[in-house]
Amino acid sequence: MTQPLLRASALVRTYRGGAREHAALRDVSLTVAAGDWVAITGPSGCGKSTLLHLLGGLDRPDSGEVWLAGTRLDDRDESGRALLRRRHVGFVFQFLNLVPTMTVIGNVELPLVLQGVARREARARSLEVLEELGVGDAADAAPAELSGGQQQRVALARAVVHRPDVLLADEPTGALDSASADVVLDLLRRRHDSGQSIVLVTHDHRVAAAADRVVTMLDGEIVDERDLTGAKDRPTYANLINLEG
Amino acid sequence: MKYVVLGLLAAGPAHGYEVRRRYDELFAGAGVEVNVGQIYVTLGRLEKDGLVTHTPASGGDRRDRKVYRLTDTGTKALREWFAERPDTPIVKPDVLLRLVTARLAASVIPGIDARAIIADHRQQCYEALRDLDRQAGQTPPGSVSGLLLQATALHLQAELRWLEACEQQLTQILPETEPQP
Amino acid sequence: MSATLRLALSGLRGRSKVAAGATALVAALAAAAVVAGLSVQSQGGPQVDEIYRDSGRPDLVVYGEPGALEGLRGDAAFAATGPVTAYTTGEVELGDGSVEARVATPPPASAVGAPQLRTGRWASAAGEVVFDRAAAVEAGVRDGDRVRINAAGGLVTLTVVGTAVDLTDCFYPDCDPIRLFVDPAGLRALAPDVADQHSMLIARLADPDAADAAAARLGGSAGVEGVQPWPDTRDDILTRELIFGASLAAFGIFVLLAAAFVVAGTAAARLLARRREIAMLQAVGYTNRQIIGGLLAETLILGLAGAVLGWLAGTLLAPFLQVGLSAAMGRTGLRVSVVSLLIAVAFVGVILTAATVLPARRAARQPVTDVLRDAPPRSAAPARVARLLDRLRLAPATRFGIGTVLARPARSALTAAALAIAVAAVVVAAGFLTTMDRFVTEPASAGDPYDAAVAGDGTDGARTAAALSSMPEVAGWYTQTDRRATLGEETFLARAVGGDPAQAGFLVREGQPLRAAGEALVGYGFLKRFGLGVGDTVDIRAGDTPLALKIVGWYSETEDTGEVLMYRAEMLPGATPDAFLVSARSGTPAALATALRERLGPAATVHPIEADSDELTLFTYSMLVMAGLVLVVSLANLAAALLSGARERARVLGVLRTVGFTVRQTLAQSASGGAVLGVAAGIVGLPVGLVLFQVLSDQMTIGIGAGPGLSRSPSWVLLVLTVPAAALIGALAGAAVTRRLAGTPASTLVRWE
Repeated sequence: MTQPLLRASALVRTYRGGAREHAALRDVSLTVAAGDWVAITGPSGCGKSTLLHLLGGLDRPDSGEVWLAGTRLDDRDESGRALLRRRHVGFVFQFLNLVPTMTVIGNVELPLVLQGVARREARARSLEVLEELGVGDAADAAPAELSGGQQQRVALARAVVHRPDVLLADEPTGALDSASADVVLDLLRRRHDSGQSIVLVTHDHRVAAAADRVVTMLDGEIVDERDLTGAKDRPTYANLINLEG
Repeated sequence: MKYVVLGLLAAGPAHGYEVRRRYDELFAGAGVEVNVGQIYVTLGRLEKDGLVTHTPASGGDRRDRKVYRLTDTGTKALREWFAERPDTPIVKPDVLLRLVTARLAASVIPGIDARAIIADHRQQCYEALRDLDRQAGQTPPGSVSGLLLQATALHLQAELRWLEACEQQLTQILPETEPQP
Repeated sequence: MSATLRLALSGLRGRSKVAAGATALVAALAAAAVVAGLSVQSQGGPQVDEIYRDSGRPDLVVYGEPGALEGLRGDAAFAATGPVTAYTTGEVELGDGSVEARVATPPPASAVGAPQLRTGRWASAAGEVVFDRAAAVEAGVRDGDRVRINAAGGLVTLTVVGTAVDLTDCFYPDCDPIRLFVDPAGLRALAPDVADQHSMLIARLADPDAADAAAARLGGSAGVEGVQPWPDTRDDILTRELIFGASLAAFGIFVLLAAAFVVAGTAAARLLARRREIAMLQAVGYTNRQIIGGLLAETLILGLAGAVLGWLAGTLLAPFLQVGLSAAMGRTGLRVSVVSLLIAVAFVGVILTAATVLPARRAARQPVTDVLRDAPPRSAAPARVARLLDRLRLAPATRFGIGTVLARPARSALTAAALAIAVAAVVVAAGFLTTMDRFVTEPASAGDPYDAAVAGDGTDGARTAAALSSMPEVAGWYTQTDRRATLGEETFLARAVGGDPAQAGFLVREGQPLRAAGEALVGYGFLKRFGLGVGDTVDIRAGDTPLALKIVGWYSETEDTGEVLMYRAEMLPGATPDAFLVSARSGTPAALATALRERLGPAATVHPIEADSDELTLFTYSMLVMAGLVLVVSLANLAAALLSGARERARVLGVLRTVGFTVRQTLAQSASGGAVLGVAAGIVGLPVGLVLFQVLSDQMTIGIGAGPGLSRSPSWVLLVLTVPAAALIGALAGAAVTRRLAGTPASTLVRWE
């Protein structure tokens, strides 16, 4: 059996803010196989962003383990996790993804440059991805000149240009209007179809429904995990519509 | 459906299949298909109430040859319908009813898992949303079907959001319900 | 309360205590330096004038034969005179060496020019002496100590019974001889032979402003050996104060300028952070003017508090900064000057206003809707700069660090400017130190190109000359005979030089050394005072000898602020040398002095040349402290700018860490930004500092009489290292400042508010 791409076991993370203590994750375990598309959803404050940050090594759990592509993540220091992220992880945040003082293409080629890829090759690959996502024209622009939707597409480009093992996204459509959100969702679908593993956090149920598996969290715990790719012996949505006068 | 049919005939007289075709033109994009039999039943009822009438087409008394049209009473009925206020959307909280009933019937039918009720329903909603999304990909935006699909999707999303609230407040609304370990 | 004031107060409340404190502190430092400088410059004069009045206004001191002086007492120009007093000269052991002393019997306390007793009592018996106050304080001689004096009557030990201040000449260690007072019996013991006694007369003039003219007229009278007018003495006494005070004030201005950039930079940054607040106020109805007024008022309140504190500190500090007079005349009391408070407040106020107004106007002008929509602040052509940087193919950390510095051009420029001022200050200070050092190690630049001096009194000139010429330790020697000379109605010091002055090594700056009779070599001060140039001829009277001389050159001379004229001793027949000035072939001045004493016998009085180290030490320390202050202020500002910049970009740093920046790269990006600022500061500050140094040092050397062009630039090693050092300091500051941020987990950075 091939080992899972991402494995989190018994994660606990508590935030201490002075006198107050907030248990963000109480005991969370999650397994993601290669090619999976997992959506993590739940009301605000349930710990989904915290979980995603731990999966990406942006933070360390108080206890528990995180394994990424066969390497243990949580016992490394900040720089060690950063180095692992360079090869294995692509991250998209809800907003302010891009470095404002760099051009769009400067932003996108960053993961490749950090890995030591030659400048010319990095630039060529970045341009390719930008065009694939429909923002090739904006390569030399500054991020501030782009619309929110375009910026998210550029962020997505940067997150996939180095072909990471997993794409992590924290509310990728959260700050977008519905038209731009549709575009981004569609791009995610296409990426997944080409084999990209995705774990995303969202409170938009349309986005969650696009995933293969939905994990529901409440108060720092996973309360439900459902596979949405089951057979269609269930009634379709047409039953929901009542046009009777 | 009754008023939609009246409206379809107001556009011009038509026989049953034609009415159905016009109906499908509007709504089939949303996956809402209507049975031609239902059309004929509705036409029959409308005729009984004097809102439509038919002219027998050539070829005898076969129903598929009847050409229906709106009467004056029918037009008046339509006008009155517009004067009315539309129905407010109906809430049909089946899940809530089940949760409450599960608690009420706990002594008679023990072991009903409240969480599972919510989670199962949630899965249903998600799957429906998926189907909707797929359908939406094939429906042109800015059409009647498109609007109908949107209404359904939003309704499902609202339901999902409400399910979240249900789950969060479960222990408060049903204190005797045991959460699943 | 007016809306503007309310806005100012709310701004103050919302301000971080540290930032507010820093602004006030910087204003206080600048104010303190300026106030202290002005104070030091101005408080010496009144003090001296007070003593002048207390002494009965001694406008003129005349030296000569007792008979001639008695005759002069009735001169029409004199309003009153003291009695003709007798004195003798000798050597007093002081500290490690000895110093020339003039021992006199004090006239009655009411006489014109009577010395002012400061401690103890007047001498009443032969073995007692009242000591020179300045020398006593400098050398630690106290009432009751015993001192040894070698006079005509031999070596005598006296007990110090008091100290006094007298205004016939400036104070030790700037001037010698020091003045000692004994009772008539004591004078007879020291100089039993009347031939060893000299006389002097102190007079108050009817017209004090005509002192120079009177001195010129009387200087030519028969029996008069020399005349010293009070204005010259006063200038000599106050020179050091003036120079020190001026440099203190100048550095205060440096600090103020650095403060201006600091304030402008922090104002710009704070206003950026408060954009939303300002936009909302505008939406609610505040006019631009009220907003600008409020922001200004906030800074001015802090600056005012700082200026008052600084004025207080400067006023309290000034008495302790008196470099020359405190020994002689005791510390001045506290001089509370409202005028200096007003000046300090006005100065600080103007600078802070200038520094805050522009950022305030920009902040008030930003479109309200943009800010409330959270649109990012508009920066100048970001894409163009970004593309340019891309082409440089830098490492990602360096690229990002430099990009952030360039993304805020105004703030970065201001920070670099403040640092450039610090670099300039350091360069100026280093230059001053090098120049001072030159004066110390090259006595020729002060007009004293010798290693040891042999007193002319009491020695056979020809024998001494022969002895000196035969000694192997002696590389060369020359003699000098001083006379008070006149040119027209003005007096100055004329020096007849014998032996081989050309070999002596006077620092001739223009023209040629003194070789033949009929030639004159003058100090720069002399040329300036009389409006002459090299090649001019002058007709002077040296004592009563008329001389026609051609100026063949000018040299570096600090005595009498360079108002000295040298001519060949042959032109003054019959005059005995005041001193033989000897250069050593090798070895220290002390070694030469020992050799001379051995050769010439106990009758000869020999001094090795002393380096004026004490006063220079104070000066150099103050210079270093002030340059250090400016540096600290600028570095603090650099750190603050880099830190606030880092905080603003905390989120972006988090994103970069998510993409894969390591902790080290986070530090490196901040270091790169700091290094860029440092390089810019170095590139601007170095030439500015060098130019400023040339200007200021020339001012200083002209001021002390040595003439322009004497300054020594700091060593070229230092200069070459300036830009790299500034870059390094900038880089270190950048790295140090983001250390905590760099260690923060990416998760926290990304969620930064």
